[in-house]
Amino acid sequence: MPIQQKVVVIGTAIVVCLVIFELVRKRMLREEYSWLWLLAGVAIGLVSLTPFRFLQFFSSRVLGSENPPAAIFFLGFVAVTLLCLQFSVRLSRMTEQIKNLGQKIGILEAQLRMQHTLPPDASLDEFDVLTEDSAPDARPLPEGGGESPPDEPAQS
Amino acid sequence: MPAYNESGQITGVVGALKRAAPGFDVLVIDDGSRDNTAAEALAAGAMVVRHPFNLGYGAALQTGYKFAATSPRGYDVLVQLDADGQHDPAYVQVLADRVRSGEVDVCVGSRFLVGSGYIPPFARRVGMVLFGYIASVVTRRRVTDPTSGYQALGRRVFEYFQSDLFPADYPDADVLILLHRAGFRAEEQPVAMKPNPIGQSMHGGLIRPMFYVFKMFLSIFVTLLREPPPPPPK
Repeated sequence: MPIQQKVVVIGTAIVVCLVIFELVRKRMLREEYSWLWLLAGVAIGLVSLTPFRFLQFFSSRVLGSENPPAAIFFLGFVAVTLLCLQFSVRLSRMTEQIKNLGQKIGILEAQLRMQHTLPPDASLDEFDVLTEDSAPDARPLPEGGGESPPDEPAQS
Repeated sequence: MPAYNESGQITGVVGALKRAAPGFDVLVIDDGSRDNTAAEALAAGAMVVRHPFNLGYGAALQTGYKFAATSPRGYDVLVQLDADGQHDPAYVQVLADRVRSGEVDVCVGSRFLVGSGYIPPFARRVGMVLFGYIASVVTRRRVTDPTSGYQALGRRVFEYFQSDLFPADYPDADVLILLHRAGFRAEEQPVAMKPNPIGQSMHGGLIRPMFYVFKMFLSIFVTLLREPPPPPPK
């Protein structure tokens, strides 16, 4: 591989790694997702440092290709496809979790409304409704804990 | 009753349902509507569960199952119907009585068992015939209306449907096959239905029907491959 190409590939790998570190630092990318992309960046750098003869040997013997760049592109394409598949699996799991959470919020809200803890026109989306004084039933807790005032029976 | 943007209709539907089935609690699941569906349903005397955002028709149905299964009122039967007024509430008692008799676990209201006068659009009719035929072969009973959302479910069934196996988009023939494989008994009863108002069907447009056919084939295929989780004990 010509030295100019090596510089470009290694530069690309360094930029990829730096961008990933920056995204993690800014909390735009979670650590658990960063390692795969870091691995991809390191792999790009390693490919440029690998001797061309070894790549030729690997691509012809293992993949049956006499053209190492084509073999590398193929492996890169497979890696990106697997990465996308892995994200789709995580996305499916999160969609299921979000659905369950949405359902639970809706049911809790309905139960609170039926127990008259939540005003009929309020919703748990507006989280402040249970803490603001504007809520019709809101009243300060009595001193010494959350027990009901003596003149009112506790609600079940 | 799963409902999405049914403002203006929901009051009449809830009222008609309360008159036709006075012994039933009415629950409307507002699937993240952007209009006043929830407020109107509450004012009409229904209990309302409101999704914080749109989750899909199947997810709304499942919310109803979860609500009923966890309610201290201990419901023994649940009847689901659409909130757009398509389903005649006069059959609620009929479907529920079939489940209460103990002879079946699920009773599906079919618009094709007797001539109800309902003629679906061509694309939908093809889907109904195709998936009805597949469901009939697999369940070894005649399925005439696999897309019907007018159903009565016994307690064991709606407890079973709390699982993540229940599809969040549109439950259909795949759910009938799942029920059969889990050992539940299902049957159809004739009901009257009105056609969907044009443009309001969840299978409308060009892309959605194609995705529906693809999804249903895939869902039926994997349902047949999966070992269904065991139903709750009797």
